[in-house]
Amino acid sequence: MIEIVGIRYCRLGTADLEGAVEFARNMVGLEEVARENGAVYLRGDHRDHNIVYFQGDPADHTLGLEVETFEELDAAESTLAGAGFEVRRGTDVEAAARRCMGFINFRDPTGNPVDLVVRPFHSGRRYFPSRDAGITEFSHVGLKTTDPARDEKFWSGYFNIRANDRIGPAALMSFDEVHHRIALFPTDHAGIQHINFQVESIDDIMRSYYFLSERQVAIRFGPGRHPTSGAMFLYYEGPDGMTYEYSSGVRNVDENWRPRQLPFKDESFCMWGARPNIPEFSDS
Amino acid sequence: MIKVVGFRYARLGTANLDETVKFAENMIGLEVVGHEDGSVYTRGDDRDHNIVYFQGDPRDQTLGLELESFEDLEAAENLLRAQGLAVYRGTEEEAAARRCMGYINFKDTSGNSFDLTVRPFASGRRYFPGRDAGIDEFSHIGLCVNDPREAEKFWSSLFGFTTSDWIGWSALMTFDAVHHRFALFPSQRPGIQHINFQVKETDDVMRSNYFLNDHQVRIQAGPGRHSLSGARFLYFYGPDDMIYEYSCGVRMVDETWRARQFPVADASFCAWGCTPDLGEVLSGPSGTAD
Repeated sequence: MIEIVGIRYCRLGTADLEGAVEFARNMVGLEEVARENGAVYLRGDHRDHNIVYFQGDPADHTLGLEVETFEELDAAESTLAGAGFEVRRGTDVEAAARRCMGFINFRDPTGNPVDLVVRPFHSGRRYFPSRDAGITEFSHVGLKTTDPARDEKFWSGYFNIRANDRIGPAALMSFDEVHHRIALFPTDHAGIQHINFQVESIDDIMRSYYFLSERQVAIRFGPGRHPTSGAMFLYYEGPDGMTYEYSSGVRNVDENWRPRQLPFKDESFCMWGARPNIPEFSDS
Repeated sequence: MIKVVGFRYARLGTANLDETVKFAENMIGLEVVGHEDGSVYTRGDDRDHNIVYFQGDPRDQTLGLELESFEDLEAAENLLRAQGLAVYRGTEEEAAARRCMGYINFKDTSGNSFDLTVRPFASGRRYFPGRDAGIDEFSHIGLCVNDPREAEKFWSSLFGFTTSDWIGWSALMTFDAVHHRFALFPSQRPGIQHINFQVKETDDVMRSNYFLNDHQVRIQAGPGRHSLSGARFLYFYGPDDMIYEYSCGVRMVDETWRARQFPVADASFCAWGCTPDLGEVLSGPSGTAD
């Protein structure tokens, strides 16, 4: 069993690096922390970085998850290679670019690239954004899947990741007490489906709703509230068609939590009555 | 000093009684509790009724406040007469129609009509609406006055209302712990500017936002959060252009509360940044907005 202890970063190709960075800073409210070798590192919490943009294919998305030790990294490499997955050990130079001490890379059955990192960097400086979006944490991603049952089995079979609720075939999965860290949404290709940042309160969600609306940012869903996690949310579209989410008040679960099955319909995504304009959330 | 102890009802004329009652039931989420002599009594809390609609002039609006005793009522009558105001003592039949044991009526200097009631009815049955709007209580009104400074003085000197905060010259006033029961709005004509119902939580405000949008109800402002009271809110238009408000989380004030002055600005109205379609709320002909 591969023990994941953290969700660390998304590495995202973009067709327009400066445009993506500007949006991340001025709209999302991330702090730019570094520029190295054509990549720009940004964050919404106190860790070294949460999102890296690089000039490249906007479909090139990598999720960075954390394991605790090099021993666990070696074991993960063996487990995944033994299961027939192609695993690549990152070089020191590549690890430096991921701002961690070591990593391996593999693809999940859908083909989503995943980095397993050891000792990703912390930061001595606290998060200080240029816009007051109230972000507290990079918290979860929606991950695209071409076969949700198969991929749920992959994550729960090889990793300490289990489903806490399901909407139709879509599993909302976690490795810790937060209701979901990876949510698998069915579609016909690989990729990160959305990127979530937690914000402090409903006030932040609503302020951002008006802030983004005034700036002609396309609101994709919300303001709303998820009946699964209980979180209040706002989804909006950034450059390269990437969906970003703010949410607040996500449920924490423990070992007594029993996963629930919700039907795949609008009201399973929003208990307030908002309707999604996100293909992977739409029942029609 | 006239001691008001309760915020009880609004009596509203309407051009189309059936349509208005349908809106109150199906959109606002009020319960129809009685039909009597062409009046329809509705409510959003456990008291006898909060809003009475009758077929008539939509400008014919009366707010019902509660006094504790008949002694208080008589004293109020004398005090108001001494101010030179015309005071009308209701008949028993009229009191019955107001579902109270006795009342007087007067008009403030702007021409707004008020009933001061004694022992308005409670109810043995609890509020049970046709739609789950989450309403808790009929809580406050916006009141159109021709001079907010003069109106503030009127309600504070004769009734002991206290001002919790100001936006421009407009006072938000109360007679109890709730941040405001009256919000005074400058206007050339009198009337009830909006009617507020408290709902339980933000979920209710947001659910109604989508519900009302889905039913083509015109939203006037929000969802938003009042910078003054802290309440999350949604304003929408009903029949006869009456504005209704849901809000939750209104601030409680006590004797240590110190009134604050806010400028006339969008940020004073909504902390979230919603842009209100304010109409006369802050920019009436004699208003304070520039």
